Amino acid sequence: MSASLHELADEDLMQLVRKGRPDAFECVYERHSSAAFSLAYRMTQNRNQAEDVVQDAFLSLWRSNARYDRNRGSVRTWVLGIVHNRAIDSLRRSVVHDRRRASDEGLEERFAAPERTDAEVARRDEAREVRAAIRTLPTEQSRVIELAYFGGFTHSEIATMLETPIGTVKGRMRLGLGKMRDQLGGLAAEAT
Amino acid sequence: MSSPCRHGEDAGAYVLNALEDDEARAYAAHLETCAPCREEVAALQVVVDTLPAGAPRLSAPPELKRRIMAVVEAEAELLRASGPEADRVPAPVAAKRGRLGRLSGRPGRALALACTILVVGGVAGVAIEHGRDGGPSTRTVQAAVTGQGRAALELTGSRAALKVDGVPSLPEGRVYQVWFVKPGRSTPEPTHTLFNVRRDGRATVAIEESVKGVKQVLVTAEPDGGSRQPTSAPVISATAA
Repeated sequence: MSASLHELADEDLMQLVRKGRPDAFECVYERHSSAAFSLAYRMTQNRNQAEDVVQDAFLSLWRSNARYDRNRGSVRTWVLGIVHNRAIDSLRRSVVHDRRRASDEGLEERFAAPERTDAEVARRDEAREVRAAIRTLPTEQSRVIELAYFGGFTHSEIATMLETPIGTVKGRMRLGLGKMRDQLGGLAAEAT
Repeated sequence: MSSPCRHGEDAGAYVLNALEDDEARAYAAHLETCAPCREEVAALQVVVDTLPAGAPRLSAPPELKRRIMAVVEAEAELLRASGPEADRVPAPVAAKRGRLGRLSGRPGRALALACTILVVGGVAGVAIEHGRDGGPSTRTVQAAVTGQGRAALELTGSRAALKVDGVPSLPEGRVYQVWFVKPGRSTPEPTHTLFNVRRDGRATVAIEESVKGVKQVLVTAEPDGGSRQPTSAPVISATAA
């Protein structure tokens, strides 16, 4: 891979990916694959399924079916959005959606990502902020947000699971996200 | 920040992708005409965009990169070989992948690629005739494989068998599916032949359907149970006629 590619911004790399440059794709992959795999694994709790999700997402990116539009946020946010959607699709196709959590225990230890660069250290700090913001929410709000975002459950599935009216579930999601926005402030703005 | 609109209560569930499909479509349509809801969705979306950072940080497995880059390099090579025409097929937009057995929405580039692979398969295919005592002869055609492994199609009269070696096994919930391409048809026809490979990447698969009148045989990776149209680019292609 050309050293100069590493100096390009993600948005510029995406222009080269659109032209069919595998080396540019590889650079984008290296920058974002760990975050993508982390999210996919957090959602699926299964290594094979997470790999499948990440592969599907990145090949979709490569094949230009998922078109990047820089007006809609960073490449990282966009990539993770694709991964999230693919993981939800995968979870909702799975007949064992609500029983999948026990598999692959201990993967975190085996595959924990080392922190090698300033950017990765910054991301660790970002992760702490996000987790702290979630922890400050009332449990009933953080729970519905986590079940929806990381569990891939719909509001009606969550309502059934928690034996709570659908309107209440929606309200908790909205309130919780609103509070997180106040907590995260600048971090949320940087994500766009 | 909160939208005063009565539909505003859906904003949180919408950005979390937690509405049912029909509700999500209806709310997206509502957003076209409701500025307060658009504003709230935009405000909440930036929070949702930070949530991936809350997942425990893991390294992507090195073998995953090898698999993805093998496909990317192979496709880049095929696209280079086919020239700019390969990029002219518009890729359709699909909001969501479908459920099992339904087209999950990205055939455009995949089919363009399939056509490209067909050309390469046609060029690369090597036919070897095996005479049999009095019976129909068996012809072996080497198939083009995108990524790892080798494959060959054995044709005996109107029957065919696919032999693969070193092809990656698929994760749970995925299966290889055989497709037929017939002359004058741009869309591959599905077959009922689904398979996976052994741990060593080998499999011998008798194709259930007759290959009479079939121009190309393709293999794609699909969700369990197969699909009605390919949902991924072919990994194997062989010239049958």
